[in-house]
Amino acid sequence: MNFSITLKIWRQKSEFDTGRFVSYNLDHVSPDMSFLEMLDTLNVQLEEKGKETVAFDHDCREGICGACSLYINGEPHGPDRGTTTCQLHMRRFKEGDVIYIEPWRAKPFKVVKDLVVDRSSFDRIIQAGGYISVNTGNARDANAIPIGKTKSDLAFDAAACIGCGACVAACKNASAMLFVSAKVTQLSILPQGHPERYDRVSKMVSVMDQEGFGNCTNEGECEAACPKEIKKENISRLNREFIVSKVKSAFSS
Amino acid sequence: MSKNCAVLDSSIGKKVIMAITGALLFGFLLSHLAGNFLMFCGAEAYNNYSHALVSNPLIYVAEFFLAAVFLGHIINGIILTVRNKKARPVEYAMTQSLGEKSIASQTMIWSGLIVFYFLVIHLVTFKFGTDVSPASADGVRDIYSLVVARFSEKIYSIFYIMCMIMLGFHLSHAIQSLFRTLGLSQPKYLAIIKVLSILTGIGIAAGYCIFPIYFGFIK
Ligand code: HEM
Ligand code: FES
Repeated sequence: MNFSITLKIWRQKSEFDTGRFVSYNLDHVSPDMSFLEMLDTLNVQLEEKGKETVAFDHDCREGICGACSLYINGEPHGPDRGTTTCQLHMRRFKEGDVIYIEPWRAKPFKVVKDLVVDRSSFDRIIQAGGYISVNTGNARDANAIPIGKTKSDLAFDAAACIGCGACVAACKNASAMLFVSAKVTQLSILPQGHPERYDRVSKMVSVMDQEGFGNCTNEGECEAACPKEIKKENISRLNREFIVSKVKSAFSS
Repeated sequence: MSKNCAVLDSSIGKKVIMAITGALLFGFLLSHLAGNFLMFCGAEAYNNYSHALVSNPLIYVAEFFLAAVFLGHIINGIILTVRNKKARPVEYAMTQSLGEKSIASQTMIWSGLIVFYFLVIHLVTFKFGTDVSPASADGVRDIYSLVVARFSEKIYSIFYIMCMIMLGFHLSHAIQSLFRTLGLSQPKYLAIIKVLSILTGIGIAAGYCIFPIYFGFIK
């Protein structure tokens, strides 16, 4: 059964505009629509009326790329746990619902337009240390270095991070530490990541600070909001790696 | 900025300072509480203990160290709170709690500042306060009678109890946070650490509240 909803969408022309909520009524919403298809429908209607469409980020629409965002009724990626906005469906809502849609809000995530924010600060953090050095030449045998099951599982779970920024959006301090900790964990616990291990954590945290993200106060909102269910224990590991890296560098010239 | 200053200014560096100074302050809280229990051994035992502490020249070193630890904790706590606020210049119209966000975790700066206010009053009242009965010939202050006199004022006792509840509140989030900040927590122990953290908060608050309750309302 199709139903009607009211949307309160954050509209902001550019970084320099202050922004405001605009209300839209949308009828004939099918429970089978994805949340983004619902917004597409709204945009088609706006376009037909000659009005400016709502800008929002999306790409794969299958929950793997990390492009979609949206702070829906006070929750990053909406009410389903472990789910990106593109995988959220309108069957989670019902007739007469009022849905607030806001962009990720954090100083380093400047609003580009409406619901689109600039997440290039994440790219700069990755550039600072989110890589390993590999000699060029023939492709190596994938199994040349044996890695225990526990470690490879841990690294794989951390590598599931799609860099969407929901952790920053959910954190009361707009801290990026879940994101950074996932990247550090993924690379630092595997032998391939060991040569740059301590340099990496130091550089990535330094760029994270420069970008203006807040500090973790251990409240676990990030883990709950993460569509890929990255664990907050990674933050503990990030702290440990950082402390060891600083102690090591203090005792080496 | 030199290498070491940069570490102290980094996000995790600052948090590590909070955790280490917090742990030291917690140690101080425990030893102070142990001293308080001497009140139940009578005036003489308590006064002599207090005298032994202040007449040891090492007390100046200890006091200086303690003041530095307090200042380090307070200044870093304020800087962190300000930075965290700045990281989100525009607030959400609607937010929901998804994780373990609690009233205690969101009000650390306020519970902390109340504890600081209490600390000032506490020092003014006892350490630098005027005694109710004169010191003995060998210079032992009658701190026992001073404490009993203050706690027998119900208003003072109530103020004291409220502040100790705020301290307990601070600790209920702080203790588990400390382990996580220092990277010492493991997923399988986290649930236990969190329960212990709340129990520690309750325990410290209850421990300190025994005295105002006993001298203010029972005796
Ligand atoms: C005897 C008194 C105190 C003890 C035992 C204590 C202990 C602690 C501990 C263990 C933490 C956790 C650190 C971490 O997350 O790793 C903490 C956090 C904090 N404390 Fe205190 N504290 C005391 C007094 C104060 C005072 C006077 C202030 C005043 C500003 C304060 C402000 C804070 C703040 C703002 C935090 C949170 C920092 C953050 O997570 O970013 N505390 N405290
Ligand atoms: S659009 Fe790719 S994860 Fe949602």
